[in-house]
Order: sequence, then structure tokens, then C-alpha cells
Amino acid sequence: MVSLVGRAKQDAASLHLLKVTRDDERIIRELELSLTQLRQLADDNLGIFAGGLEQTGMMERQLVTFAKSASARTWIAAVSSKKLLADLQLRLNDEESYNVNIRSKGTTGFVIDNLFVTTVEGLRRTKFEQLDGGFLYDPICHIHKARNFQRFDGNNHDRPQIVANFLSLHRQRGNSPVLCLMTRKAAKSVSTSAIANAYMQEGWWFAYPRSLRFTDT
Amino acid sequence: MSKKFPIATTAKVLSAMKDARIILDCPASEATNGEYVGFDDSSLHLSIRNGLKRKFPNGLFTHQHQAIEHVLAGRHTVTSTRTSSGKSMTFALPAIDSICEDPQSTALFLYPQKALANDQFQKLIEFASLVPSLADAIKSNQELVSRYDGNTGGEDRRRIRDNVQLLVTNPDMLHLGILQHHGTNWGRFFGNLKLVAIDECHDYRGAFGSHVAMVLRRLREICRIHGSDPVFTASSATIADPQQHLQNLTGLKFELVGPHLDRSRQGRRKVWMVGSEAHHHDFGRQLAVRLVQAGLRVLAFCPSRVAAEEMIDRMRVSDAIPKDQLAVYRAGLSITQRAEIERGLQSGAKRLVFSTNALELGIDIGHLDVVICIGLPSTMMSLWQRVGRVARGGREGAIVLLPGNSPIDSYYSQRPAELLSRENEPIAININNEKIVCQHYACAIDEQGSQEDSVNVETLGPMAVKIRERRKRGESCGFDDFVSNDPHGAVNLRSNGDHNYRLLCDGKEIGEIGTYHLLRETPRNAIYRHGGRAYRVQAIVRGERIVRLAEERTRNRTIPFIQKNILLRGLLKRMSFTDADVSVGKLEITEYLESLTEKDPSGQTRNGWSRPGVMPTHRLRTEGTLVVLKKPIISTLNRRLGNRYPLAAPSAERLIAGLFPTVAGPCDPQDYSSGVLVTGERDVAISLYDTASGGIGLTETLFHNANDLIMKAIDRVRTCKCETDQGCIRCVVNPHQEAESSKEAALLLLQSLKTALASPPAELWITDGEESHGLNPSTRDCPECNRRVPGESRFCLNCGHNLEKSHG
Repeated sequence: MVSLVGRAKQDAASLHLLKVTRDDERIIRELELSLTQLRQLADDNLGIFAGGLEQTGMMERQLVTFAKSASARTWIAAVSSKKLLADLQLRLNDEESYNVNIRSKGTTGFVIDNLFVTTVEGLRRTKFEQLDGGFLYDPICHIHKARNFQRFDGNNHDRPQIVANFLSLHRQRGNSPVLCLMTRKAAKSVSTSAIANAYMQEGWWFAYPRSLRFTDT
Repeated sequence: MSKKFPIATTAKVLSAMKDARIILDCPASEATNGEYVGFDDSSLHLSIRNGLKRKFPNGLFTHQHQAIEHVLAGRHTVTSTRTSSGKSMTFALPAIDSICEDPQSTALFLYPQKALANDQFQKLIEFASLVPSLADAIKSNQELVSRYDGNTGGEDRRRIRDNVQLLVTNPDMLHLGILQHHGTNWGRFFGNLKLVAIDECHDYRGAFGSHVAMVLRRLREICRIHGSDPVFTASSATIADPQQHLQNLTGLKFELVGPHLDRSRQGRRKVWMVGSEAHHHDFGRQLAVRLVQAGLRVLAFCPSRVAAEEMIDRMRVSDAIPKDQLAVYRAGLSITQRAEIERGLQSGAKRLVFSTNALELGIDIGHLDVVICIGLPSTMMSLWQRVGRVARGGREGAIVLLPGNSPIDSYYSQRPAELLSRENEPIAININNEKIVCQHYACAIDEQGSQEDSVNVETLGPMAVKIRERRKRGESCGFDDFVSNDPHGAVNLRSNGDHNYRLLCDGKEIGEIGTYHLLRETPRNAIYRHGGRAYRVQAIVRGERIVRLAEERTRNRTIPFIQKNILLRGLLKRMSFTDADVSVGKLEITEYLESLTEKDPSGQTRNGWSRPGVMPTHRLRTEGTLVVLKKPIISTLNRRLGNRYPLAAPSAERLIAGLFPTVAGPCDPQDYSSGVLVTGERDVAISLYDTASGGIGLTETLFHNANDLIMKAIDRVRTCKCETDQGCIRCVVNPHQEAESSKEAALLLLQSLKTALASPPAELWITDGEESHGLNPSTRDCPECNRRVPGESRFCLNCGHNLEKSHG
């Protein structure tokens, strides 16, 4: 278990976003969500759905922007595959990153500036003292579909359940992490309510993906 | 003697079999000579009349004449006369007539199966060749009469599209390959379309029928765009209310040429129902062999494809039937294998064919003498179609029905007259299935160049009207069909989106299998029989949808143990009693493979796999009826049955499911299934559900007939002759799975239910039909984005606004 204990608390963190509607992507209002508001969102089991990112490269750039913020210390980013994680590591942070090798077989994750990046499976081996939110990078929006398939050892593997368990574990520890799903799929092109169910969310706030940023960046 | 007198020979063979017990010996129906109308009285084009006179000197049968006159007068017509009564001519001749009148005109022929289409295609060419002008036209235009389906090569397709006038296809191809491209490739064809012929229309039922109904409505829309108004003509030998069915299917009113007008020439035909102490599979095989040895040609219908394959596997050298005269005919065989068997049947090279229901429809399969039904057919339509395979063309034919061991077969073996006196069951299609209508509405929009307002929703039916209203209000339909780039590709008419797996042995494709059968027949390590040979499943490649097989010489068989999870997602109707409920609800069923057991012919277990590889689960969202046992009944059963309590619900479920057709009318066992679930209040429920995605309203009939069915189930347990509490497969034992059962437990549960349902219901509650997603049908507007949202939602589905309190 990776325990990121030494992370500073960021009470003044706020997240900027343009809240839009799902079907016609009409802008409802521009918001800067304080930590309290983010926690309230999480307590209501509402996530943030930022769909329609044009390309994966843009996601990578956005990740770097997030990572530069001090607020990112209490956030985590989980990507959809090991390959994407390795690509990110190579392209974005080759020199400064460090591997946290739990098993010899693979990498649990790495840190870009202030942000810890891992895979969905890596969430099972990661624990934060304080966690305000998690970015789920799912370019083709398929993590929620990977449910109940058997691994070679015969155990069930359920990827959205890993995410839900991770959030739940941190709620038990007194945090209220909000889930922020970032994908290339537009919200109206996928069944967002089914995705919300898979991650144990009651619904989504839909956000214009380029508008997401920490205000202290 | 035998070839001329199949009835006498069959009677002799049956009397010689010691363990044969005649349950029913119907008097033979007498042969009829047919009544004719001369061609001079027909309105057909002169060249057709002259051409046909040579081949049909007596003229047309009276019913053929009437049907053709209706069609020529522009009236939509359905012909419902007996098998082998010449129905094909009632749509072939009007189509040829339209070409004689207008050389540019076109006609569309729809057949539910490729094999049937191939057979009828040849007949159509024969009819067309009888007319000299048309025979010349065919010589100069090879594509004038063409078949267009999945087997048509890419090179041929373009030529066919450009030149065809009489097009033979199936609904799948019409949906995927023709309607979709009407504007670019098929403008000429649809602009000149004069006739649409729908053969074997009874096959369009259930979920498949509901899809086809929407395809035909879309076809009407396309014709409207291209300025044509074709006449629809349909036929079926075995259908209960043909006019109503065709109206459901097409949305048009039809004239009927029914059985009362049938004046066809029929051969002498006799039906027996025979029981035996031996297993009906063994007895059926022995009877078939003896009849073949007596010189007759026999077609034996088996209840499943596995059973059909096992028949060949059990043949002995002493049976003295050469292997090349035997065959198994079923779905999943390759096209060449099927064609070879069909040719063998027509030429007489195949003398004994074990078949599933794949050979039921009107394929001309030569001069058969005897049909044996091993296990009673699941529907009356199926029974009469099978009966109609013999006594064709004035020849004599015999039919032997062998009841199986299921509760329904046992029921009818005790009441054989009841079976034969039953009417053909009403055909269920549901043109208000929201999912199906959504899918086809999305296709219709695509076909109109994405102009939704151009689609005439009234043609598509009342549900389409509702969906458009909802979409205008900005509401979602709960499905993603309207945002798909390829709405046509997302619709599979036959199996609700499941695509088949290819069966490969040494890199060679030997057939294909659907996902439903994949779980049951080809899990990893299973022995799979195909065309009389045994194969071991090596691997299932999910990504490529391939099953890899290796041939193996074995007589062993493998038995899968499939578990089922049933989740209740919402109630639609409920009749509440003090100690029980009867409800209709939305269900989600997940089937998965728990284990696989290999047994040798003596029944000894040879091998077992507790988790046989990674097998895809089979998921289904549907509707079903629940008979719910409340806590007082559960406590009583628990107290009185002790450790046998867990056996009560599964044993009763098996009985209720087995006898369901006695209240719903005979229905295909693959159209419904059953299971036991525990509800949120910890009540136990026995559920019967439709196996078509979204439900087609079949098992809903149990809602008002639960009492009747429970009485019949009690009667079955009491009258069953088995002596142990374990029961037998005629009552509570499930023949497909090794699970414990108890007659006494089932009886006690059923009697408790009978008492509970005897009083009038304390509460009857039905949701508004339009809102079927949840328990609360009310809706409200979101103050943030003005979208209408279901009343029970805490958050807006469109913007996430908290409808109970505000954020930020």
C-alpha cells in the first residue's frame, strides 16, 4: 500500500469549471468550487463529468496544468491503462518522475509535480491522508464496462468497483473525495446514468473539459 | 408395398415394437382431389395464362385464383391454407403479371430463412420461365430475378441493385443492406415497387416479429418517399387470426383467403401418438431405423440440436443404415452442409434425417413418407408445419408423435385429444416495445437524411408518436440509439444485438453459434457435436468471436451447470394478497457458467471443471411475472419442511415453468424462462420472464392466470406416478441440471399459494403504461435547465442539479 502521508493540507483549494447541460452542452454558469462545496458535492454522491476532450494529447497537457497547482497534492489521477500510464511517464515527466515499485511486475504510479498518477488497479494499493478528489482519465470511456470478468487466478475483477472502493475507503477516513471523470466521449454520446451507477454516483455535474483548472495554478 | 403405403407400413412397424403404447390413433384423413378454376376466368396477363396452361392444364386451385384476383385488384391479401396447397403461386404470379403489364415494375419477396429463400428462388425462376417474354428477358438480364442476402458476393451486388426486378431477400438484409441505402442504390427499385410478398408470416413473431414489423413500416415510409404504393401479400399455413397478425406486422388491413376456402389436392394422412417405457429419444431412434429398414424415407424432428446430434452418435452398425444416407439438419451448419442435405432429401439419397425445427418451414424436401416428432412440438404452428412435411402432392404420409418427459408433454400424453383440438396459438408481437421502436425510429430518421420531421411517425406506430413527443420536450428515451453514427448496425433483428461466434477447426470454419448457445454448448473443454462428429472446445477468443475446436473420437458428453442471477429493477403491476403477491416487473437476468461435467455413455462422471475458463456471461433485461411468497408462507414452509425448505421454490418453479404453455397457449420454450429470486423485503419469488430483450408480454399472461396454473401444477404432482420424493423429470426434476428436488416441498408450497391466492386481492396497482422505468410515474421540471426529469430522481439527469437542495 502506497501511503502518501506527508502531503500538505490545502484548505483554500478551489476548482474552476464551466457547468454545462448534458444534452446540448449549454453553459449554465461559471463556478469556482471551494473545498467545502466540493465536499458537499461528494457527500451528495455527485461526480463531475468532463466529456468531449478532443484528443488524448490535450488530456496530457491538462494533466500537467493540474499537476503544477499546489491543490493537486490532495488529488489523485487514475488512468485507464498501464500503457497510457507508461506513455504519460515517458512523454511528460521522464526526468523528474519516480517509480513506486510495489511489485517487480509493474509500476503503481508516479508523481508529476504535485499530482500522483496511477492506474485504476493502482488505486487498490494507494492511500491518502487527505484526499479531495480524483481525476479518472478514461479517453474512450470504457472503464465502467469492465465488470465481473474473471482473471486467470479465478477471482473476479471489477474496475469501476475499484474506483468506488477507493472513494469509499477515503470517506471512511473522514475525507470527501469528489470523482472527476475526464473522457474524449461527449456526455450525450454515452449512457451517463449507467456510468454513474457503476461508480456508485447518483449523478453528474457536466463540465466543459477545457474549463477545469485549479484556481491557484 | 412400403413406398406406396407409408401408413400401413408404419402401423405394421408400430405393432411389431413391443414397448410401443399407442396413446392416440386418429383415423386417417382422406385424400382430396382439389377444385380448379380455369385460366380463362383469371385476370392474369394473357401471356401468363398461355404459359401456365401447359404445366397446369386444370387451371389454378379455387383459393389460389381468389388470392390472385384480390392482389391484382390492389387489395392487400393474406393466404392461410394448408401446407402444400400452392401458396407460393399466389404471390409469384401477380409479381410476374406486374412485369408483363409494366416492364419496369419490381417486386420484393421476403423469406424468414435463407434455405427457404433459396428454394423459393428456384421456383420463382421456373414460373417466370413459363412466360416466353419473361424467359427472353431473363436471358438478356441475368439479374432480373435475383437473390440478395448475406451470401451474395460483393461483385454481384452492384449488378443486382442496378438490374433486379424480382428480388428475393430476408428481413435482415432488407433492414441492413437495402433500406439503409435506398437513396443511393435502390431508387429505381423502390420507385417501381408494385408488390411485397411475405412468406411464412407466422415465423415473424416474438422479438424477431416485433423488429420485422418495424422494418416493414420503414419500408412503407421508403416507398412513400419514392412515390410507390405496393400491394402486400402474405401467406402461412399455420396461423391463428392471420388478418390481425398482418395488420400488426404492416399496419395495413388485409383480405383473407382462409382455410375455409382451401380446395387444394392433399394426400391421405394419419397421425399416431405413441408412448414407451424406453426414453423417448431411444424409442424415436429405434422407430426411425425400423421405418427406414422397411423402405420408407423418414424425417425425425428432435427437441434440440444436441439431441439431434446425439441420435447419429447412438446409431449402431446393426442398424444397417449406411452413413451417407443419414444426416443431421440444424442451425449452425455451414451453407454447403445444409445445401448438401437439402439436395439429398430431394433426390432421395438421404433416407433418414434428424432435424431440429430448422426444416419446419415450407422448403420442398422431396417425397417424404413419415415424420416422427421426438418430443411434442412446442407450438401448434410448429406441429402443423411438421405434419405438413408429408402427404404433399397427393401422396400418402404418416406422422408419429412421441411425447417426451417434460411436464407439458406428460400433460398432453394424458390428454392427447386436447392437444390436437387446440387452435393455433395467437401470435405475439409487440410494436410498443420501447427499445425496439427507439432503434427503428433512429434508423428511420437516418433513412430520411437525419430529418426527423420528415418521418411519418404514425406509420411507425403509437410508440413512435410518443417517442417523438418526448424528444420534442427534450427528454431522453433512455437508449443511445439517437446519437449513434450507425443506427442500422446497432440493430440485430434476430437476437437483440448479440453477434454469432464462428466455429473453427484446424483453421476451417465449420459453422457458427450464438451467444445463448455458446454458454450452453461450447464452454472451454466441452464436447461439441456438429454434423455427426465430436469436437473438443479448445478456446474461445472473445475479441475475434471465434470458438476453436479440435476433432475428437469420443462418445462422452459434457453437461454445463449454468447459474442465474435475477435482479428486480422495478414493478409495473401488482396484485397484492395477504400472504402472496402476483406482480409484473422489469428484470435483469445474468447467466454464467458455474461448472462443466464430462460423463461417459454409462453416466459415470469422467472429468469436471469448476471454473471452465473465461466464458462470456449472458445478460438480459426483460419483463416477467413474479409470484411472491410473503413471510407467513415462508415461515410455515420453513417450519414444516426443515432442511428440505430450500428445495421447495426451485421444485415448484420447474413445475410452473413446465406447465406455463397450458395457460398461455403452446409457446416456444426459448421464448420464456424461469428462476427464483429473493426480493428486497426478503420475500421469495418464483419468476417467469420473456427471453426477448425488453419483453414481449408473453409471461405477463401469468398475471391473471396464476391460480389456474397453480391448480394444474398441484394436479401434475399428485398424478405423477413416480414413487420417490425426489420426483422425476415428468414433475419436479430439472432434466438439464443436476439439482435436488422434492415433490412434497413443491406440493406444500403450491398448496400454500393456492390458499393465499384464493381470496380477492387486497390491492391492485398498475403503473401508467407510458412511464415504465420506475415505481413513480410522475415527472417534474428541473429549475436549472428546464429538462423534464422522473419524479423520483434526486438529481437532474441533464445538469446534475440537486432537486432537493441547491449547491453553490
